[in-house]
Parts: sequence; structure tokens; C-alpha cells
Amino acid sequence: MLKYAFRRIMAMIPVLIGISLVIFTLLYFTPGDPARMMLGDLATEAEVQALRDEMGLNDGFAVRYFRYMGDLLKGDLGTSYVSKLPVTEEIMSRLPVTVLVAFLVMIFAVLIGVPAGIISAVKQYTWVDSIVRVLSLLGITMPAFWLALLLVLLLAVNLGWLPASGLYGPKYYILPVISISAVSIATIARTTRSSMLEVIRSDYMRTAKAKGQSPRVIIFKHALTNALIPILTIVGIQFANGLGGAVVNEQVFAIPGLGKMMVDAIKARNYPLVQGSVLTLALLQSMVNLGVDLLYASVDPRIRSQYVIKKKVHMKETPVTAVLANTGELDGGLK
Amino acid sequence: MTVIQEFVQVRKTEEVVTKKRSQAHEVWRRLKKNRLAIAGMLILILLLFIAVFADVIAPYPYAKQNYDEVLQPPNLKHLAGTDEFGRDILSRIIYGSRISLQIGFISLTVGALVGCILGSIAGFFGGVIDNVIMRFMDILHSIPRVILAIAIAASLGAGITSALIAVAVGSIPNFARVVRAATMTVRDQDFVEAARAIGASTSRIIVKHILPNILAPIIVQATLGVGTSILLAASLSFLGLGIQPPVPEWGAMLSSSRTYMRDNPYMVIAPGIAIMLTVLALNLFGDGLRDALDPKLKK
Repeated sequence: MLKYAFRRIMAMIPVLIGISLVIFTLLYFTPGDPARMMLGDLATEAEVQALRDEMGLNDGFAVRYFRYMGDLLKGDLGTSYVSKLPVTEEIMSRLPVTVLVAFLVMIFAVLIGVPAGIISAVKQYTWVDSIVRVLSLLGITMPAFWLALLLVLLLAVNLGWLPASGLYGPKYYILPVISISAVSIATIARTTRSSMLEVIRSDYMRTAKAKGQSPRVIIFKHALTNALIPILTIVGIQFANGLGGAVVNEQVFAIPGLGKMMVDAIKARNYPLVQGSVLTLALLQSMVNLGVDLLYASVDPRIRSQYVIKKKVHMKETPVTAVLANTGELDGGLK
Repeated sequence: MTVIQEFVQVRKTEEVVTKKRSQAHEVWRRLKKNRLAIAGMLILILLLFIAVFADVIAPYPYAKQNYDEVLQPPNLKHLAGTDEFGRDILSRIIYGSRISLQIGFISLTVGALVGCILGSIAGFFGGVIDNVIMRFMDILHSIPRVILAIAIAASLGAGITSALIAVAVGSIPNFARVVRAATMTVRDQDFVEAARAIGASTSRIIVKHILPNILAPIIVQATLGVGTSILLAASLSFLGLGIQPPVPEWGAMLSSSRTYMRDNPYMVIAPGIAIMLTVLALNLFGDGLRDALDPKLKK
């Protein structure tokens, strides 16, 4: 298990370096002169040039990238053009909010999505199943930001029950959590349902029934434990999506998180901050994926051995993608 | 006629019948049975019709401003009301279908094309080439798709083309993965070996022999992916990083309606329904197509 974990962590390093290169390249070619942005329109060309030299903006691509990576290794992500504060500091001040919201979203989505999927599978083709299926289809197709606007209109503007924006107490979390989690609830419910249905039809379930075990034991002990891997995967993916997808909803609810900071930074052409935020979000996503992989490698020994065999035949896909491809949810739940 | 002769005769007739019924026919037969998929397909056809004939269907030009009729709730003259410039919301939604469908389909086609080329090369050759391509796909896949699209849109500047590229790039890894896996399962089969034996070039083998045999997963991935692309493009515009006003993009319309929604809630309804209906239709059709193309997957 330790060997497996070590391999997976080592495999993450080149990917992270690659991510930094992709993001750096994208922002390198972005139009607009940061030095001019910082000094304003009134500064002379000489002043702008001096600042460009000082910031190292006149150096070539490779020099700048390696300098950036060197600083990155020391934990320095640069300085924000606007606030003049270190990017790391700015990110750390916003990160907890985004992670907390994503965490609440995940808990809420699991608490509703998993039972809904189980009930739907156990009561297949009944009215309960139909309702769950229709609602989960709506959840997947509805843009999260539209749902957010509708909820604000109904619960904040018309009924006045909840605050519409900001984040000043527990009450403020309710609307964002509901609207961001809708898509996760839907995806988790769908995956749980299909995963449970597959398990329910298997022979050992029939044996359990024949032994005269109670439906409760059959569902929770026999079916759910075996249906857990795809569910676990989708929960992990949804948590990662929650981190990324929060960008849009943080904007709707004016939540002072990483996503809102990133979009504001793009609009202000504050590139070190953009770069830092994207890297942080990508790192978080990779860590969540790794966490999920390790979690079910510990749950299911077959996955560990599969990884070893896969390596031999040049199939280096992570279990996350492998399981996702099987459940057909490779593209699901993106918002 | 002996029993054996009769049996042979029956087998021959059966074979003729099976051959006549092509694979496409079979898929269509299965698809027809799925009422939800057909509903999705009909909505899609209707949307395509609306997009193509927007000039004829829309009651007003999408950019026509009328300051005498600013922020009017739905009425007989303006069925979905008017916006802050007095523009007819329904007409903007109708024209908006052009933008959304265009972005959805073009970006997906570009993403699918690049993904298929990369995936089939990786799957066919294996080894170092496979490793290099797939590690790059891993990198793209590790950046949350919304974030990647935002970063690309920021780098290229706002506009339809940059939104198209921003949405397309994120879809490449999924296609590459699906195609690579499928290519690996067929590359060692006899018909590929036979093609190689008669001296077919690698590109010919990939295009003529491998791709047609792995079309089903590509089609499914594409149909389901269009919906995701439309949602992503709408999110970009909603953030102000995609298509800019006055182009009537649904996400951008929702974004600008936020300022007025407190007193004019109707402004939020129509664009949202348009997005949802389009994505819903694509999902229903895509799910149905998946089941029809590969009945084994049906659960």
C-alpha cells in the first residue's frame, strides 16, 4: 500500500510541473503590459521600461519560467500587481472559504444523493424512482448559476428568509451550498442508482435473500458495500468539481473565495494572482483525486494489483478515470 | 427436401435478412423504442430549425433598442418581455440559439477531432509516443475544466472564437482517453493485421480500419459533451469572459439581467429555460444513443 501511495505521489509531480507550464504559457501570451497596468496611463515610456526591467518582464520565456519555478519551489508565487501583497498570502486568506464551501457542498450532496440513489434503485420503476430520476436529470442540466439566481429571487428577494449575498454567518452558507450542490446531488444519485442496480442483480444478493436475511441487511451490508467504489469516485470528482465550479457561484453570491478572487484578478489583468489561483485549484483537484485513489486502493486490493499490471501494459490511467469510464460519468457533473 | 436442406435454406434466408438490416438501421430501431431519447431528438431538431430560421421566426431584430419600452414584463407584444434597452427578450433568445448551438457543436467537433487524432496515435503506437501524449492529456485533465476555460479565455480575450477554443481544449482529454482505450482493444485484431499484411499505411489503417470500429464510444461522448460545452460557454459569458454584449448569448443575458432581477424577475427566467432545455434535450438524446449503440451498457 505504501509503495502504491509513493508511486501515485511521484506520478503527480510531472503532472503538476506540466500544469504550471501550461498556465504560465497561457498567461505569458496574454495581451496587456503589467508594468503599464501598475503605473497607469500617466507614466512615461521610460518609467514603464524601467519597471519592466525591474520585474524581469523583458527576459525571454524560458528565463522567466525557470525563475518562476525557482520561486515556486521556495513557496513564492510572486506579488499581486494590485494589492502589492504576496500572492501566497492573498490565496491563503481566500482558500479556507472555498474549501469550506466545497466541503459543505460535498457533505450535503452525499447526505441527499446517496440515499436518493439507493431508494431509487431499490424501488426501481416506482413513482419514487421516477421522481428521483427526473429531479436528477434536471439537476444535471440546470446551469448552477441559474439555479442560484432563481433561489435568490425566491428565498431572498420574495420571501426574505435568507440573505442574498456575502458570507457573514451560518445563514449565508445555505443558498450557495444548495445551488452548488444541486449538480453533485444529481450526479451522485444517478451513479448510486446505477451502481446499486448492477449489484442488486448479482448472484450473491439472491443468495442473501434466499438465506432469509432482512432487506435492511441485504441493502446496507451486501449491496452498498459492493456498490461503493463508483460512488466513492463520483463523490471525489464532485468535491474537485465543487472547488472549480464554485468560481461561478462565488460570483453570484459575492463569496470572498478563491474563485471570485481569480475572476476579479483576470478582469484587472493581475496575472500573478491568476496564475497562483489556477495552480492552487489544480493542485487541490489533483490531491483530491489522489486521496480518492488511495482511499479505494485501501478498500479494494484488486485496484492495487491492477495498477501494477496496468503499468506493465502501458495503461497508466488512474483508477479514477478507469472507474469513471465504466460508469459512463467521465464528463458528468461539470459546471 | 431433407431436414438438413431445409435447415440450410432457413439459415440462408436468415443471413440475407441480417445483412440487409445494416448497423445504422439496428441502432435506429433501438433508439425509436426509447421515447425520452426521441423527445430529446425532436427538441434538438426544433432548436436547430429555430437557429437556422431565426431571421424569419424572431419577431424583432435582436439588437433593436426601443427606449419607450424598457424593462416591460411579458405581454402580447413582447412574449418574454423586454430588457434594459427595450430589446425583445424572446427575439434575443431565438437568435441566441445560433450562438449556443454553434459554440456547442463547433467546439465539440474541434475537441473531438484533436482528441481522436491524439488518442488513436497514442493507442496505436503505444510506448514513448503514448506516454508523451497521455501525460499531456493528464495535465490538461488535472486542471478543473472551468478553470482551464477561464484561463484560456483570459489569455485569448473575450469573443466567440476564444470562447470556442476555451471550451474545445477542455474536451480533448476525454476524447483522447476514450479513443485510445478503444484503439488499444482493436489494434491487435486480425483485420488490422490483415490490413498491415497487404501493405496499408499506418494513417490508412487508423482512418479506414480502426476509427470506424470505435465510432460508437466517440459518438456517445460527443453527444453528451455538446451539452457540457454549451453550459461551459454560458458560464464563461456569465462571468463576462466569453461572448460580449450585444451578442445575444444566453449566459451573458442572464449575467446582465442580474442587475435588474429584483424588480424584473421575468428577465432571469427565459434565458435559463433556454439553456436548460437545450442541455436536457442533448442529454436525453445522448443517453438514448448510448443505449442504442451499445445495449450492453443499458442498465
